Amino acid sequence: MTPPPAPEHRTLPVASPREARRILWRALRPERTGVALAFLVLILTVSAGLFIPPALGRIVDVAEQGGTPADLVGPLVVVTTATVVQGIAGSGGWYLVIRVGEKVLAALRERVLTRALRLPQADVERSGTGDLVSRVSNDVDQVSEALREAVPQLLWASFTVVLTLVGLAALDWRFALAGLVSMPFYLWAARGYTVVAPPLYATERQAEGTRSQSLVESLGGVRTIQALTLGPRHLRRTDRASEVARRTRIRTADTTAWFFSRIHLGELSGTGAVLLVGALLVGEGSASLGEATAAALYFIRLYDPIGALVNLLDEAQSATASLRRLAGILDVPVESRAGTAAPATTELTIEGLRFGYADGPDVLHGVSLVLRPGEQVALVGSSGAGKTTLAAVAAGIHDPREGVVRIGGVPVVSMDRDELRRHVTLVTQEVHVFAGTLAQDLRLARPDAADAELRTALDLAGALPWVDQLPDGLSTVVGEGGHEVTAVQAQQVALARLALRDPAVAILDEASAEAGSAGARLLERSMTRVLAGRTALLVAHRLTTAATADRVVVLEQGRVVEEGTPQELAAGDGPYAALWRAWNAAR
Amino acid sequence: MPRTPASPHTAGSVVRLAFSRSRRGAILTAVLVSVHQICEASTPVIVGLALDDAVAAGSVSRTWAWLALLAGVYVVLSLCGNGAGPVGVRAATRAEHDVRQAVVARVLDPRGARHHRSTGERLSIASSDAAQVGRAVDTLAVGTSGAVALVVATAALFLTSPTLGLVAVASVAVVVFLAPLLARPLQARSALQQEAAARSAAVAVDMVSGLRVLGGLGAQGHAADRYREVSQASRRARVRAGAAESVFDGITRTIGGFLLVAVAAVGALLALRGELTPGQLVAGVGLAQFLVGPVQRLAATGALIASVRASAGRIAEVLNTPFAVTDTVHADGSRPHRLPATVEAVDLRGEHLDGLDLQVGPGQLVGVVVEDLGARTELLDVLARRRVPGAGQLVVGGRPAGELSLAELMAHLVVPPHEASLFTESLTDLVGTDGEAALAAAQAGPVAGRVADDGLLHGGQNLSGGQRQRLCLARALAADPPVLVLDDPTSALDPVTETAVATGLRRLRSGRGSTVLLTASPTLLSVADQVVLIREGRVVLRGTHVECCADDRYAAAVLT
Repeated sequence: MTPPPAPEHRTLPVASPREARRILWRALRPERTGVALAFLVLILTVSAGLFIPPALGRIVDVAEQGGTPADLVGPLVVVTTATVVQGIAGSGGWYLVIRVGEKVLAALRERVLTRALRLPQADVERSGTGDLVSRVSNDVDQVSEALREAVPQLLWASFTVVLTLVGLAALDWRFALAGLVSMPFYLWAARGYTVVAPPLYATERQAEGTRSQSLVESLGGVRTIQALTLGPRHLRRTDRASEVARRTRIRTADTTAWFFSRIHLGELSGTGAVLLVGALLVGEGSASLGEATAAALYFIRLYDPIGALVNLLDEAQSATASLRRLAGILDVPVESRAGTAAPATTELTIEGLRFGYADGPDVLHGVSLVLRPGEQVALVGSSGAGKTTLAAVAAGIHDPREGVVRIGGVPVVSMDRDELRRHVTLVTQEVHVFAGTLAQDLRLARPDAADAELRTALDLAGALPWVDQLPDGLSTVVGEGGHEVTAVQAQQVALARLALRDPAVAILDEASAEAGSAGARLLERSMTRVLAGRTALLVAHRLTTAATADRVVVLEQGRVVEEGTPQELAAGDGPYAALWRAWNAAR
Repeated sequence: MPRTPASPHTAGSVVRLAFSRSRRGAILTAVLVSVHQICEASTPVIVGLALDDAVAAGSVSRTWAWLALLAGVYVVLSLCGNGAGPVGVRAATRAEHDVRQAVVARVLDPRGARHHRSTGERLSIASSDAAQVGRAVDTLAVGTSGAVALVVATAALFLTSPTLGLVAVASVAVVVFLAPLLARPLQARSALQQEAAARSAAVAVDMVSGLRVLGGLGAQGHAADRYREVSQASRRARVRAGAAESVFDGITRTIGGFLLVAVAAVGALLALRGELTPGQLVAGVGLAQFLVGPVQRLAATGALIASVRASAGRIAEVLNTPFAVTDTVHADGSRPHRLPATVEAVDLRGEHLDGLDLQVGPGQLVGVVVEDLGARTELLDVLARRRVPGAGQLVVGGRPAGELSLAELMAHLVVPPHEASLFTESLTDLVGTDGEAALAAAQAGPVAGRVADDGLLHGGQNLSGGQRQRLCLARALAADPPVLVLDDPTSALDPVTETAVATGLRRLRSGRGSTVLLTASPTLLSVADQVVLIREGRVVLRGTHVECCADDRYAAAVLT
């Protein structure tokens, strides 16, 4: 089955058109000098062009009234000069527009990504990263395209239309009036693009989002697909998603095509009116043939810009849809917390924690736990017991529904996020090696770290032996598309990042889960070295990890059911002892 | 050795491939746009003639007659113009779709790829570049209509006055020679710019994919800084390309303007000599003014071709990616044979393997413990046919793997990756209609129940690591191949669940086929019929788990 478009409540918010415009405006404001300069040059370009039709009209008059070749020199010089000025100013103006436009665009996409990275994790989990990925790629593309192509053309076209009407009026006000006869048709066309088209574009975007989600999954899951020979199925799936997106595109094209007729009616009526007024004025002797010619040439010169103007409304609409999705990201409130006093000790206390995702039921039912400074506590329990959730809430990733997490007495909800992470770092279950050089990846944890410090951290994590074997050492490109690292190596990189970050409290979520058992022992040693001296909460899978911890906490269905030293618990007959027996049965 | 295709893909062949199904639509679009252009070209002529015949005389009624003719032309113009959009979109999206599917098919090809691209890059090629290739329809329409309009307008100028026609032809000739020369630096910059844009997009996607890792580390700010760097590099490349474009644009515009000046000057002189009526002069000037359009269209075609070619080139690169392994194609096109459920490694050698021998008999469950991670990866790669062994061979169902087609091999021997992906699909898509037993064996029943509420897995995003692992295992078991190789299938499970999975796995696989477990988990190894220990690239110990536990090397690898 084709995955249906994600239901509304699952996606990140989409901002109102007004909000989207406000965000664009705010991106433009810092560049207002550049924008103004580009405007001026564009106006100069268009103005230069205005001299051409009257000069051509004068040439017609000279020809009609039988002047001498010398009479032609003046108008020809005007046309030539106007052409050259138009060419040079046009180039300059275009370049200025590109320069300022790209600045604005870069600022906008950077702002969007920066905010995207800081979205409350619960929101992202609910909507899936696909939606976010599609916004930072597709929608950024759409808006870029519009800012690059549509906006400059829109400016040029509007200047041309306004200034040409001025030119027509300068010939005779009745010519300008004749030109305005076409206006209702153009407005009618514009209405089509602004009223009828937007919902079509919204549907189109949604279909494209689904297509991109399906592409992300298929192109990202290549190994799984190859191993289980799911290729044909995934080809069918992307085929279907792409077909649906295609059909929505076609539906939009079919509907909007007829709006062109309205533009054509505008051209026809305007040209006709100008010619008729010309005939009248020439007949009554208040205009020369040359002036009537100039008026007709003026109006014909308007075809392109007006056509472009109406057409661009179309692109502007579709870009607005994307801009709204980008603005939607910027709209998600990111609570800025006032940084209070730094925690005095490295004690982690968890009190009566209740938590659930979105509107879902509680996953944690009043968990309390105290980790004394430097103490290493292992969290065990069957999968789905809420260990990962507890780790995330304890790290301050999610805000609890009830209860409080404190570090050295300071509630984490009152700490600024960046400040908080200097004290508590969470190594997630999911490992991700960032695309780029290994050094770049590590410096995400500490940008100012020297190479020597990176090596020290890698050494602590036990990664130095293989890093030294890499073709370019620290400068080897790793991550997607680069040198492939094993699951164990990826974990070691994660541990090295932790060492670089150097927090007093570390929370490790199933850090050895994906390493496989052979690598797990290697990682245990790395973990011991990296965690030395830190307060640590470990979500433990291998009971050997738990067995070496200072204390073990057993979590079942969101509740702490047992707590004590590993030796005590193993000797008893509680849930830990059951786990311990299962673990040892084959040993 | 991987086979090199007889004819590697080029940008041109990609465009041909894209339009293999939509050539007609593309051509029809070009025809419609061209007719539309011809109608537009005739507008200034009709206006010129109207000025000469009716306006000059101040006759409103004769002006109406000319307007009727103009209206007739506009009916044709409107029909062609309106038709071009839908026809063009159909052709462009068809081409885009076809080339996208070709990219997806190549990426998913079971023969694999010798070098990898990031998901972000693949995504960008399958979406943005495919769309760009679809725009070849516009390129063709813009180019053709530009050329047609140019020819028609020049011809009309010739009819008005051969001298004017010659002036126009001379100016156009200059443009035709100049444009490609001017467009060349544009192409290089355009390619650089698109590359930088792709890199910046890929970094954005990569950062968002690693969102949780960044969140846990509190490195969002640093990540944003890094994105800013590539984004700024992309901006600079774009501005450089834009500078070239704007110069190019200015020059073509100016040349068009000079054409107008030349026609106006020559026409006026001719008119002064009485060789041209004022009306013909107006028509000539109108046509010359119109000619600027087609000349610009032709010039723009150069830039459009450049970006279509850059995108098609990137797609060609994907399609040309050498395969990791070759497929043995059977000349007789025979159907897959039913082979015994065995697999055997004979004297495998390579980077880390050093004479590895391994036999898995029918219905056997064999545990494989590999000390060295390099050897482990290499063994898995060879089994999964991601790599051709340096020496030795894999014997599958009694036949050398090299003799079997890839389809036969894949049907016989399944090696799901350890970090397997889940997709947005239904439970039925995951384990089939009779997956109950597989779900039960993998202890995935409760998770499956949760998924069933929603109906879709959503890539397993809201599931814990253990839940995801159990679903992946259930999927592998439900695939029910004669030989199944599992890479640490229980690493994210707690010991109680793991024990249950070990028992379930054993029960489900016995009587169905043989199973290889690459693991050091004693729980799993204890249910195996036989275990082997691999050290320094070869098997050093064989026996049951209990027997082997007496060996120090085995105990050190498994029990600590």
